[in-house]
Amino acid sequence: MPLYAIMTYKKLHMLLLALLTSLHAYSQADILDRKISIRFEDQNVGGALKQIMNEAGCSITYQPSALPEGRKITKSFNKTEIRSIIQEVWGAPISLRARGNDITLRVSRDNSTDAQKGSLIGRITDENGEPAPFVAVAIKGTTKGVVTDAEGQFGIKSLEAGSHTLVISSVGYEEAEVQASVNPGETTNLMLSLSGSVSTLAEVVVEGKSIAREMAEQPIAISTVNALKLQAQTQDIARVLDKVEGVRIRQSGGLGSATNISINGLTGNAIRFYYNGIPSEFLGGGFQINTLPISNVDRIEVYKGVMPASIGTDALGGGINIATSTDGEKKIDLSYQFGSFNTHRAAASITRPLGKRWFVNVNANYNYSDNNFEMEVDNNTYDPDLPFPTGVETIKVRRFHDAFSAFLGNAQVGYRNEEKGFSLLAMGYVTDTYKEFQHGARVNFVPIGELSVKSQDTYFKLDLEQKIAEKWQFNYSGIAGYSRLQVKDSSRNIYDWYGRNITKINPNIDRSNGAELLALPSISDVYSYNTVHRFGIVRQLPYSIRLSLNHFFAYQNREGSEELEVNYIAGRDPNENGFLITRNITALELSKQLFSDRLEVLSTLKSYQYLTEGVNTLIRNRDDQTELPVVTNSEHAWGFNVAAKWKINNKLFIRSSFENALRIPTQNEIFGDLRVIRPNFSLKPERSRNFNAGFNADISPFLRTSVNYFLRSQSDGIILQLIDTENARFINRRKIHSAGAELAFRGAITNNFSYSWNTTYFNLEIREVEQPQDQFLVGSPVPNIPTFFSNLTLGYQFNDVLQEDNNLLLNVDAQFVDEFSFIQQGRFINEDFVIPTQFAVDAGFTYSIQNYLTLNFQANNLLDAALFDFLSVPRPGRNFAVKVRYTL
Amino acid sequence: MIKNVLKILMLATLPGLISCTEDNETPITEKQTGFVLQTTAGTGAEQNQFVQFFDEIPTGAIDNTQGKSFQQFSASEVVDNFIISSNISGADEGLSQVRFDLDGEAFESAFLPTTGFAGFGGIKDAENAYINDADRDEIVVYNPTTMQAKGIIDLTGAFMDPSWTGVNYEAFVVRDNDLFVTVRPAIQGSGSFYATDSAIVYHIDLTTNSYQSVSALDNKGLARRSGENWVDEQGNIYLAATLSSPERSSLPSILRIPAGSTSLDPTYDFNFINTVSATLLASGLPVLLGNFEYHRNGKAYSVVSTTFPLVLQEFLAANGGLGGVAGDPDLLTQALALFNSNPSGQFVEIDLEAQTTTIIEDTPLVNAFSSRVSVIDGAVYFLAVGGETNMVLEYDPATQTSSEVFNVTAGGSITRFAKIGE
Repeated sequence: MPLYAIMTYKKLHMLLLALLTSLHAYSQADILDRKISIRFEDQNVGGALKQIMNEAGCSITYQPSALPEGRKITKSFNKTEIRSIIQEVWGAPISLRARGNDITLRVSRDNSTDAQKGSLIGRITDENGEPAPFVAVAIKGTTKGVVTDAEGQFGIKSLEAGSHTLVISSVGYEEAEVQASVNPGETTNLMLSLSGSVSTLAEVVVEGKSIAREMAEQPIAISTVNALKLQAQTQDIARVLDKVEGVRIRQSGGLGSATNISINGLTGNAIRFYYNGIPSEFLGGGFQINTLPISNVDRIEVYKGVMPASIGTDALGGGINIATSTDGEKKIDLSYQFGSFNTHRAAASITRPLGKRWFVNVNANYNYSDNNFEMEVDNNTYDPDLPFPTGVETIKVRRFHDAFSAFLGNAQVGYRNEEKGFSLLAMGYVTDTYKEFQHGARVNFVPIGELSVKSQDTYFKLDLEQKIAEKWQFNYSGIAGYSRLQVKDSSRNIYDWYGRNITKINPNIDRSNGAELLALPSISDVYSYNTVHRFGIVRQLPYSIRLSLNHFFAYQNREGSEELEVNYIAGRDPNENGFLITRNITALELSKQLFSDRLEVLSTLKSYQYLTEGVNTLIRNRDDQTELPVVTNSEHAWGFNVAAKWKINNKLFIRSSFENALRIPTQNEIFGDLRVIRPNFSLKPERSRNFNAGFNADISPFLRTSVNYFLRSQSDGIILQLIDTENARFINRRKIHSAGAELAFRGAITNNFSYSWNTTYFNLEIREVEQPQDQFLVGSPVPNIPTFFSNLTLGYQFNDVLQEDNNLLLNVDAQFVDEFSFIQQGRFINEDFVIPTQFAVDAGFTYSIQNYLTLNFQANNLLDAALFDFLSVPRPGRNFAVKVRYTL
Repeated sequence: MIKNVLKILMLATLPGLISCTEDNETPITEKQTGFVLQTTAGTGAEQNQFVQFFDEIPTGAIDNTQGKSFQQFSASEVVDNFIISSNISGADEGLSQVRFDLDGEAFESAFLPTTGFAGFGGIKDAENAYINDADRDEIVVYNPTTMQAKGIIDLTGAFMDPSWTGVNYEAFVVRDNDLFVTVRPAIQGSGSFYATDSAIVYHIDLTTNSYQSVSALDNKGLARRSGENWVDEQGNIYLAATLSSPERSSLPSILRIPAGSTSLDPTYDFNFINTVSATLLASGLPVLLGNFEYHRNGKAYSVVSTTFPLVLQEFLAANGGLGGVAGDPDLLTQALALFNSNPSGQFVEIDLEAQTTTIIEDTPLVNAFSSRVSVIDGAVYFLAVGGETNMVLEYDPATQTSSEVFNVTAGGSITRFAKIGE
């Protein structure tokens, strides 16, 4: 077993050991384990709990409103654990916490594995818009009910999906009933107003929405995924995103490989990926969309054009924001997943409140995979006595040099003072990633056998938010830290697809230049020092006007060392000098609601400024050059967007948006790669004009539909231009036009049977070309972009399987991607460059036990179909994964 | 060792025997003679080539998308009725033998595996050809008809300066039983493979397939592969030592290995662009050179940068002239970009004996880097590309006039026009 694999296992075991130790320590000295003898005689639950308190000398804290009504118990317990006694007294799943002699009893939290349950949260205000405290909110026909707090807020969890009647009662008001819908796995948010007369209360109910759905119904084009429903499943964020309308995620191998995101045809750097609002490029290599754990993700937001000022930086074609949960509630969430190709994924998240306002949260995630899935390749054959390959064979082999491991750990401390409207979240995180490479962008006849890349990230993050009298809101989010990237590509060995080192067998066959992927061998160690700061001020003005000012500042400096002098320029290591880029992006956003809030308009003005500084490697061949000159460049540009949403009724709205956006070139695009990509200091930002229009209709719980039409025109697109036979550089030439539509249906056919289907079709056209000789391409489709794809997801839940409150969820996912070509085709179709129609089916089940333990089994590519990633790299055939998740 | 030689011999002879026995029975399934037009469209990762077959020399307006498209097609050699190209499936390794079926569709008829990218090579005849693979210590000998490797030429004993960290091989020129390979070394601490200012040539004896000697001339630049016909009727070899990158200081010149000799001739020093590109040379801007093609009677043809593109002239005027631009790396980058992407070249006739160069005035201004010269059946063709120009011209040396043969309206820039078969 290779040394690294042994280390990987060691790491995994240490991680599991640490988790178990933490869990053990967490549950030690628990009064719940104490055994007592007690007898109840026709006692109600509240009385029984008091009896336990007296007998055990402990305190039990619980919400009286949550007491099971009408339940009586008559039973004797002899030397029985307090935990068991309370569970039996309550008669339903319940969460118990102990701290010293204090026991806290909570109705089981909304568990994401129970996909058919949901929650209600809301806020009730009086006729003056002030919070209405102490208003009783109960679910008719159940024992569930709460009282609003000082802010008029309430929350009721673990509600069966479907329509519920809320009974609202308060001193001075007559009791009233309000209808509210709860969707599976979602949290419905209600805004209620007491308008002096309770009889009008029901009429002013704002349609209840989950936070994810609320976001999805903004004036801008956005799709959201409620990740809570998916946390128990084995699929990662990349797979979840791949099922969103308009989105295609393509990788270049297995777990940990490079990811290409396409949103409605725009791809590459045009699409930004954010983690809690921070662009991932500043978070280091450890933040990959296909390795981040989904277990602590709250929702995934997919912006199809305009991005809100609070997130958007210089995204051109939209972006993806991963929003994690930081509610500070006491929680333990442990999961372990094992799957095909020796894939192990472990995640742990422990949150513990410290008093009323503080909490700590620790997360640890570890991914490992051999990625040794089988695929068909063309393989050179060799004779051990001949100094050249003797032929080519097409074989099915397992990948052998594609292992990936990644550790991501973070600890955060949070403080929340709702009375003062202040919150703070401080986080430190580290990552450690190792990646082997089996091939470059395409699968070749000769595989890579030794190239590897290591990266480490160390960052500190701080989030602050301050509300003042509901009118002002200040927020700050910033990170600082560094990423380290170590690349080693210096092997002279030639491998075949069986994983054999041919050079070892036959020393006459080797690579003289000593590099498997790069043009020249390299052993580099490069640091990227990053810091990002985002400031925001929101002012609520009269007449439903909301003004928001955001400023984003980013600093990125890359420097390091190259061990091999063959990469030096004029005798010096160009990495020593550093390449820095700073960005300042300011956004002023104005939103207003009109016509009794039926019309919502939003407009943003953006200022983009950036500065680049780096050595000019163009002088590389001037022998008389003794110093590498530093070149600086600064640019400023404006952008804007407008969006509007018209709410026709509570079930139907239409929306439209327009954006004139730009994207600032990346470090690599400006400074080159010090190898084959030459710098271009005059590279301009690329621009895009996006138009979106569509509607959402909430016809019934069985049918929710959305349609989005989009039109885009990208100009000054940054593309790689060949200078001569061996050198290239990025230039501003690309101009493309796209138009298309997305259609989505989702809903619940019955309380147990949910479905989601979406389809995307667009036309992506080249509108301008670099050379007059390429004029014929104008109007042609842009190659290598799938333009027609569809996703279907079905879920069926069986309740009370084997035992009460044990549920079984069956899920089936199907994906269709139409055939496409990755070159412009001529009269004779060259099938070598056509990706055929792909149809993938995944299926699995999730069995949840009492809302704290879930078991998930997933079979991917059930039909063992030929599926392809970027540039026809094969995807794995039929494969399986099992996940166990424990939550408290 | 003996075992190796026997195996190589067996591999080499077996396909030949098979082909002999089947010659009379195999029906003709591919084109035996005709013309191949290759064009290149798009830029960077989206670049691809269209390849179309014609029974006769095409005329008029040609839509080359009526051919077949490839992501990587490099028609490096023509042998009999087929073409040797880099791997047409798009993978890095291997050489494809490409023929054309009776409908004119290109297809891979045989394949030579390699361990690295092998785009350049030299052809001696239908049974002997040479390429450099990933291992720079050897040259692979293969049979282009059968696409079977036959052996290697060991270069472990070839000259290597102590400062070199590696070498690339550029042009392969075959003269009878001599193979000349131009060398591009990588020099420690100098960045990539662009460090040398010397023309370096290895001489290999093809009767023994063995390295013989090295010859070099300083300050002559690199002799890169840029044509097919470099040997005159007497056996003199003419190498065009071109600029390898815009930043180099050496000038394009023509070097000679005299007939009967295996070394560069230090007395033959023909800086042929001195006259036709004087303005550019004085400006310090690079002079780009297309390919160099020997025709006959001591005459060769090429395409070189001779003047400033109009847009560059405007740019220079707006930025303080040449002095202003040269002192600012950013402006210099923009100037080079304008220079590279706008027509500044003209076709020239080169008298190798008299060492004179004449601009062929009736040809359009073209992009020197993209345009080239082809000699087909003794006729000279100019592949003129640049600006709105995308055509093939036939040049008549007797009248010193050129005339349009055809122009390409779709499929991208003309990159190759060749004849297959006799």
